Amino acid sequence: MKNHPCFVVLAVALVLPAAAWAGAAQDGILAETAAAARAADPAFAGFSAERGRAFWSARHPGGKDQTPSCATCHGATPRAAGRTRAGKPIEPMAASLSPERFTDPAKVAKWFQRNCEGVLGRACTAREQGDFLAYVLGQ
Amino acid sequence: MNHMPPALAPRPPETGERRVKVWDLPTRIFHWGLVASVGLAYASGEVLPKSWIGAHAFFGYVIVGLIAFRLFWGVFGPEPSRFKSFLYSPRAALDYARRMLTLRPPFHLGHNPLGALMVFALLATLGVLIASGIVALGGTERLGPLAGQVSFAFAKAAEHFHEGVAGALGVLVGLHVAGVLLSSLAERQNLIRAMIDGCKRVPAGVRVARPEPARLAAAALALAVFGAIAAALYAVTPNVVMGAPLFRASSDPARLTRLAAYERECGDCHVVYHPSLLPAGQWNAVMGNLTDHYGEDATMAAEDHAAIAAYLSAHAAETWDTKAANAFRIAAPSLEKSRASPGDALPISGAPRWKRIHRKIDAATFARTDIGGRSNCAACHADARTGLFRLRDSAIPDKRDSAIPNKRDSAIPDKRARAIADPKPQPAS
Repeated sequence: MKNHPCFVVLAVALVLPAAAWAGAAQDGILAETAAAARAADPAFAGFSAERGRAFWSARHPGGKDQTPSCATCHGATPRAAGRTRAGKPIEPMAASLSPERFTDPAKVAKWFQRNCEGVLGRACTAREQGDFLAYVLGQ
Repeated sequence: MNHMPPALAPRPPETGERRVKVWDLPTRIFHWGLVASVGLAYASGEVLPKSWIGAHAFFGYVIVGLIAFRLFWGVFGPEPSRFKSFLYSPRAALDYARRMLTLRPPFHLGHNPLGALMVFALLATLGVLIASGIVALGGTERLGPLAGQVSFAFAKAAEHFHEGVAGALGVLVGLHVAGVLLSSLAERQNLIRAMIDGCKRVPAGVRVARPEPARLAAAALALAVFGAIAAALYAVTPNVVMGAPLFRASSDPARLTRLAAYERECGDCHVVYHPSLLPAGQWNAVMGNLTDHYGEDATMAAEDHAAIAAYLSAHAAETWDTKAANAFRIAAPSLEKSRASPGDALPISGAPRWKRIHRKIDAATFARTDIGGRSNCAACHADARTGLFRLRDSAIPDKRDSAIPNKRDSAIPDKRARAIADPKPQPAS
């Protein structure tokens, strides 16, 4: 059909803003975290997905015995699905597989507060949060 | 040689040994169909795992249909099948028994007096079994014609009664088989073959009148009248029976309106436990100690906390009559003392009734990564969210290879399972 390419363009034009919207919300959270990291440490040079990957897989002392690592519940990589301590499946953290994640700042803050307390025994610094976000958003 | 047409010529009474048709085809099909259905109902109810209860109920319904036919046929069928033709007094039955033991029983074209007694005993016992089964199914599983119409206590009593009567039926069946074999021996008849091909061997010197055929015209008329009366009754007075005290409709836990805050705040980490699974006191203990919620920090915003606490209290186990609510409604006093600290709330899986129900499942099964522990009801109960925990929806899943579920597993796989687990809730009425 002659109009076919027009329909495709129209569809893409409608979908892209939606995807961009999610991306915009996630970028907003990243920006706020970067601002907090800069405020905490003037020598802050940006987030690193590589540090985030190491943070995800490391066994952190100081938290609960049953959850020494992010990977304990969330799986070996963000692309894997995980399981909570009560056995409920967790959707993958990777933004490419779960695009709705990390779009609600309140929810992000709540889960960082809960899970850092459980895994590290303390609050995560803004830099740790940012590295983590950089890692999962890129997966 | 008589030249009259065969139909008009008077037939001399036959007195030699001959085979006579006794059991018509519908009667024979009924008999063996009943044998198969009872056997399959027994197997699915007693031998196979409990999740086969759906098949068990199905065969029960088949038996209902078969008995309904037999009752109808006992009025309108051919003479040997009509109840009137084998209504013997108990004295006649005793007389037959005595004669059978001396191996000189009289010949009966249809059922002999003892056999007749067995027919009525079996029909009555099956009727009682069916009725008690339907009551039990309605009150415990919330299934069948009396789903949710019978109190749990009454249904549970009916279930025990049902099991007892099933044992009695087993005895009756044993007696029936023994009686058939004994009679066959005494009468020198193969009674089992007679029920297969319908013919009996009439000994020499015995006269038998030709049995009357089925009264089909009368049967059709009776069916039409009965059907009309039944339809009229059903249309006019469906609630007369259902409104009686024994048959008070109870609320369907699957239709409880959902609270979004509960699903979100609590359902993020674990199965959305139906409020009917704990008494109100336990829910209050849980909500009163969210900073140490079974080892996790589950604190939430104040308005969510208030809404969830109110919701759980309002719909706690005391307000339901399901089997789960009845099992978990009463916190055993001894457990109050066994708690480590007053703030500890006993988990659902810590209730003594829970442990009893799941006693045959070993720890290794609960430790499987694809099951995820005792708290993850949904691993084995497809309808956990509804609070019904029907036997037909409960089964230990086959072991999966991967330790961590793949993305597809995080959603319930097939359409029917999704419908079971997530039925559309009705608005509050």
